[in-house]
Amino acid sequence: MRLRERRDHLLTHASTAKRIRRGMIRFVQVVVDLSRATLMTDLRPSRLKVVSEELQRFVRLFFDSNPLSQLALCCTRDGVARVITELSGSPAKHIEQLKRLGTRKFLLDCCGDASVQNALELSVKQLRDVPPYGHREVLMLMTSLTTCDPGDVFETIGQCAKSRIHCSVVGLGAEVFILRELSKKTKGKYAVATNEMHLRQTLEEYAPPPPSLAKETPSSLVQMGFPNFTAASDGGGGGEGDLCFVGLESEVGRGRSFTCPRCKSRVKDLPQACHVCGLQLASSAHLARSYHHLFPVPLFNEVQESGVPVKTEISTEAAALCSGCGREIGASEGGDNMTLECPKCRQRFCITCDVFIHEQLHNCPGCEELST
Amino acid sequence: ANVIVYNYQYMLDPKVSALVSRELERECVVVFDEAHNIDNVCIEALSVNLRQQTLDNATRGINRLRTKIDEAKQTDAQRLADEYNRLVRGLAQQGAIPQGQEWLSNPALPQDILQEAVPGNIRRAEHFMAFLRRFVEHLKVRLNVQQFESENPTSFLDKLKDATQIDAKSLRFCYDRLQSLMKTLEIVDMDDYYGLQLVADFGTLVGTYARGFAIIIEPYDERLPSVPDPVIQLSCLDSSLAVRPVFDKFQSVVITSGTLSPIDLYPKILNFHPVVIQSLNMSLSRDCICPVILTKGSDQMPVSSAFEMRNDPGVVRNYGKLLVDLSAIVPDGIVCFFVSYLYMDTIVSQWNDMGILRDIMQNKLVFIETQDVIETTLALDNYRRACDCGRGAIFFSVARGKVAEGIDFDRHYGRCVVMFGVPYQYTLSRILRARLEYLRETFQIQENDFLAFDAVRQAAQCVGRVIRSKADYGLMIFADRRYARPDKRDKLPQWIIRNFQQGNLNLSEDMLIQVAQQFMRAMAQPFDGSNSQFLLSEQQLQGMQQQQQQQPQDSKVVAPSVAAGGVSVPVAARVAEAKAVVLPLAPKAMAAD
Repeated sequence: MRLRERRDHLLTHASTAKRIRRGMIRFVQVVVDLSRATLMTDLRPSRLKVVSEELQRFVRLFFDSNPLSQLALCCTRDGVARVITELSGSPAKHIEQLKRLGTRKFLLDCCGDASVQNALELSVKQLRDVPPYGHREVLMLMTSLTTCDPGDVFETIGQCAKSRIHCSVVGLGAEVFILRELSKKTKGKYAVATNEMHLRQTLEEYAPPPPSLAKETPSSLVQMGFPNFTAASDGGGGGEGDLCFVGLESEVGRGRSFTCPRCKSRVKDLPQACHVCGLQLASSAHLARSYHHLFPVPLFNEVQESGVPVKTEISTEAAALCSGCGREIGASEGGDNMTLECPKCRQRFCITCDVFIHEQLHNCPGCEELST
Repeated sequence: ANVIVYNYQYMLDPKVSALVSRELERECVVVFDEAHNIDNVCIEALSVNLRQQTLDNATRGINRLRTKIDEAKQTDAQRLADEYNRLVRGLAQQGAIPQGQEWLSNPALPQDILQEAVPGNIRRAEHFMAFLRRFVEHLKVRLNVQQFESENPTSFLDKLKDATQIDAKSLRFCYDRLQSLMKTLEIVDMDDYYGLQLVADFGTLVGTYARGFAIIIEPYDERLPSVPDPVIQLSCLDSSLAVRPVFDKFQSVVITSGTLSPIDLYPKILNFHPVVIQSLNMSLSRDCICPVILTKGSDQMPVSSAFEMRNDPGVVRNYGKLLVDLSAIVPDGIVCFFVSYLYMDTIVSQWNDMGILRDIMQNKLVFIETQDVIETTLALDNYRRACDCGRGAIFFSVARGKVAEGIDFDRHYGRCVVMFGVPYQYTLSRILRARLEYLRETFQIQENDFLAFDAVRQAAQCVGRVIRSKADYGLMIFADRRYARPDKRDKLPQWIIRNFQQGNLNLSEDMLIQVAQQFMRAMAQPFDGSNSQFLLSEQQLQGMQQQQQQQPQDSKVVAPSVAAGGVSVPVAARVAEAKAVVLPLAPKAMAAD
């Protein structure tokens, strides 16, 4: 049963259950390989299309799980590496550029060789100005099996390791030795996708924040601002005249804007670094969404069906109903009557609710009830 | 010492083994590892080639010895007289020569050396010199022929007797007499007399053995008819001669290899009766080898390296296309083996003309093995660097060359190996034909069978270079339609045959690319060695140890020890009766367990 598989998956990733230190504020550089090899059609309809779609999905998922983090895009093509988008916290910009992958107009078509060394050097440069509490990562999506480098790629790998950048690679054709070395030395991960679904699953694994080493990110206090929401100015039409400098382009802000608490300049969207004073701006909702990575819902224990006495005040008649959805356990999903129990509040749940609670909801309804 | 590790020659070559291995006791266990070429080593150990310069050197050596003898007669005639007396008394082998200080060794096998007095006509030093001189002159006459001659030792000796009155018995003592003379004259620079040594070896072998040898005289190498290169070749045809003393002397002999197949051919060739024949599997937890047989190109034309098809442009193009497509889907290093240097040169230049080399080099760099050792070493070194840094490389090599014999291409240095064609030996060589005839007469082994066995053994050896541990993986491609025939396919070793999937026995080039892509993706997934199989698990090992403790007299320690002061431990009961055990093992699979 698929649900059982997902529960087993949760069980094996026991690190998700424990409280460990994680890199919550991530600065991730995504490298897209736009070399000749991306034109191959072993993934349907073509590798390029699949990569583009999966990356868009990944970007959305990434910002869902890590609202305080920032992402950048770059590509390696024709032996050189080029920036597509700078580090920013808004998914829309990245997705817009990803949609353009493959078009000749923006020099995003596939040709030439990939160059791992150039891509890494570019990433090092981009990630140099990241504050020390940030978790620096590079995610390379390599389709090419060969790399054409101008110098010694091992030196660049050493540089990445020294700058504490974690490079992970998702490959598409086969396992390449130099990429394996890269991920080993910089303490990242290397996976090779076998088909489209596997590629999606592999990318999903990069979305939650990774565990961070204690000596890399010393615990420090991070200064953040929580701006107020300023509606459109009252009187006369809803703010046509309000100008709002948003980053490099100045736009006419249509009413909605936030005010930075330190310098009082206006920003259009959150989370973002203020473009005047550099203060990290976020809202409380974003922080709350990151909370569940640090304090995950404990894994539910399986309850034996027959005979084992369970210490609970709930009577046996009520135990047959799931506390989450209210249906009888075993009534749905083809009769899978695995009963699961939360160790804190002792409520019983069916397997559908268990998977939902641990994967999406990140809150146990029973414990919420208890606390109120 | 308890364990000694050395080269085959130290045990098999009579010239060397008398010096080195004489001290080993009977209760040793002798293990020949990588023994698939053991018959070739045995044959080479007992073969001698004489060329013009060898004979000239021998003549110079004789002259030098003559002057030395004259000097010795004037200064210290006593020494020569002592030697003469010793020989009269029949102490040719012993005498004042302390053991372990010999420089020359008898090329004939120990049991074939006559233990009697040196014959009278060569006891005196001057007579012996004259004898040698006559022999060398006769050899020079025999060398000047215009066409090929092939004969067995008996007829050679007949002709020798007619011409020079030298008989077989005195010829047999050539070596002994020469050695004794060198001792007496206290000669120290042996390198100057190498020609004379070879002639003495030749004479002794010809005089000793009537069967199992052939003398072939060639005025020129057949592949280069315009270059005169006369040579007298005394070639041993029977590989069981050199290995017989090993079987007789030692209590247990084990012959093992990863490519010992077909396994029942070896007892026939080496003429022994094995006590145990065992074929062990590779204990793998995932299918890390993918052997495939390519029989046709994507245009469905058959591909082969057979003489008649070799230079067909269609075949060349198909082989080239295979390499181009492989270089796009296989990461890091690919190794290609060709059947000969000439074939490799021809096909590479044809690929260059067709533009195939350019396409390959867009994906990977190309390195090639040459006959020069330094160039090849450089090429190998750069190949490894290219594989390490991610650029990827292909290495072109020859199936019977130095690289195929010794160099490993494990891990990312060899993710795929392609064997272009079936590596037959040069079938028109006279020595090979003489050997085939001998095998047919004596052991009833068909010529085609033996040639196919030799070729497939070489191919399996080349192909096994890419796997060296359990975590390693590799694609093995046999690119010739003759491999699909059962007579060749069955001669491949078990560990390859077992991993053949049913659909991979007769592939065309585009299907092979599909198979290769799937294999590479599947092998790139994470591999943990936790569910690997073992030939001998922990519990079994502990059980054996407990058994051993309960029966202390049946010690399982196998420890050959040198005579002086070592403790010789009796070998375990079940091996004690073994005269010979033939065991093919997968290369290094046991070591990785």
